[in-house]
Amino acid sequence: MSEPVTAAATAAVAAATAVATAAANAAATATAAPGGLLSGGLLWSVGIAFVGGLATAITPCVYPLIPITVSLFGAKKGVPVSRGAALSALYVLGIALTYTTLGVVAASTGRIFGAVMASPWVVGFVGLVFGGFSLSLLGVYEIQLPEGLRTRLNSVGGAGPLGALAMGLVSGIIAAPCTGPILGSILTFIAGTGNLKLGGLLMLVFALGMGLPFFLVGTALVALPKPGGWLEKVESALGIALLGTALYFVKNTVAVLRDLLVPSTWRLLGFVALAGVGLSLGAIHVSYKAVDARKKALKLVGACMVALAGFGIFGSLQVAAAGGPDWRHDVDAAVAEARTSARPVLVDFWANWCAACNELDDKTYPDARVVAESFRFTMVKIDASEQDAEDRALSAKYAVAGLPTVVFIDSKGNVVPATRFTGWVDAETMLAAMRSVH
Amino acid sequence: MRAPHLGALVALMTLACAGAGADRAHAAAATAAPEPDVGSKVDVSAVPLEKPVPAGTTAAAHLVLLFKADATHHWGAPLKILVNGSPPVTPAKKTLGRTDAVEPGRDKAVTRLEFDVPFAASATGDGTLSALVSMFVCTETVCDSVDRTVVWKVHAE
Repeated sequence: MSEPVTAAATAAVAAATAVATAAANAAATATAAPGGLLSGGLLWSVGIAFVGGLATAITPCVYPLIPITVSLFGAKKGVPVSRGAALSALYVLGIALTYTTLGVVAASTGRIFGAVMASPWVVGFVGLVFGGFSLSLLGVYEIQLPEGLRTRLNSVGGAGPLGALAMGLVSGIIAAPCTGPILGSILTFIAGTGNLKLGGLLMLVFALGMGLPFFLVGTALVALPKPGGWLEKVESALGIALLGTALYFVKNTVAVLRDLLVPSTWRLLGFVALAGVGLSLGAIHVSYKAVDARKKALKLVGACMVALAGFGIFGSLQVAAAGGPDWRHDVDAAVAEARTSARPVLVDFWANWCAACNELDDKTYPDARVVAESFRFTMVKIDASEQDAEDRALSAKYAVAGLPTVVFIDSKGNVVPATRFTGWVDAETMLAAMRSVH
Repeated sequence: MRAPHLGALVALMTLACAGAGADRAHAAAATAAPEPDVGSKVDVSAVPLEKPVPAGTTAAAHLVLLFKADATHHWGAPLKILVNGSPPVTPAKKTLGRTDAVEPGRDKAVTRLEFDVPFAASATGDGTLSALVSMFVCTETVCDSVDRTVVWKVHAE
């Protein structure tokens, strides 16, 4: 693989793998509080969505068509830069309108069917959809629009402002064989969050990332490198990233996947080595168009290894960076939102004069396995130090007689009586209790 | 697949999954913690009044909280004593807290607290003085809410 290809493929893997991870964080943050929409977590996911869109633009069905497309809507040689910029901006606006609408629609369906996402069968199905899309990007098969629809969409638009806008509106659909898997996966994820603002925003930013090369070429600011075999490698890299994303998505229903995210130097080294072996098997550099069935099989095995390694590395670094659970403090709001997004809730009643409560904070919650598991939960801390009327009312509601008391609420909003406990527990006990709640 | 690749794959998968398997086995073996009975770790006693109380005067009854084993009462933890009386006994102070203790032990976790509970006898006769003690008693592993009621028999003459 040449150097630019390696760099592009690596960037694509990094970007697309992290899209779902970051978006998952952003979804949790954005639902935590209105102000959370401007938090660092969301900014991170917006950045990743932008890079993801950009990576999509350098796939075989989009990249070679960039110069042709911009010349079709009129931003070609001899046209003033300002007109080229305006036409290109309208084209990008068209892409953004389509994608943002898709994002909001996807999130709306998630709001309606959010509770269904609690079912491991549904999560498994969504994981399979992700996996299916990733196989398409790896070249195993091609997702194509029906011939008639393709012909009609290709005739949309033309030279001039309205033509540019119209072409932008349908461009994402025309490039479905390459954009479809990535787009479909992100939309599936957004549907799972049920967050309209997040859905619209991420898809808008994704569209802007995808539209950037069109804008740059349209304003004659850059000359793109020649298309070639490296585009297929970028596509493979995106396929691997999508496979890693599928693992990240289903991890909440597969405990062994969450265990893999517990940070450990040896495990991290194992993942790096696994990625190395996967790459050497041809995960990226071998074309699936190769006739050799053995090479095809090795490429797929290698891709799975790199995807697993990417999932493990990104996931465990995320757990290590978190340091501890992400605590919230308004139990009613947390329970309501958790029910919408089909997440279980852990409610910890504590007091500043309670040594056992401090022990939970010092020894149990920071345990990397508990932190990894806590990503599946909405974690709530209730300060009962004052024992005022509000504290007593909440204590009565959840039958709290001692401290610390940890109450579990399942993803349907029901308190799980068998799993609650009062008093300090070690990380193993906490972990077993958390794993029993869904 | 060539043998070295297969060997490396098996070794790496084993390495990556080994820790996970061990963690899961450990977690599965864990059992829910029993809920401790901290209430039994505190004795709340009313020291009987030895002498009759002269009618029309005030006196004090003595209350002792003794925390056993590793149980303590932390300075910041709630402790409220609600005092009631039956005629001819009336409490001079209806509510007492940790700061009213004979030795409050400010900012400390203590194993013994004593209170003088003031009351008045308005006339001659037999009455009672009662105290409802509500508090959080803590051990190293849990803090429990404990309620205890004690009663003194008061003879006024």
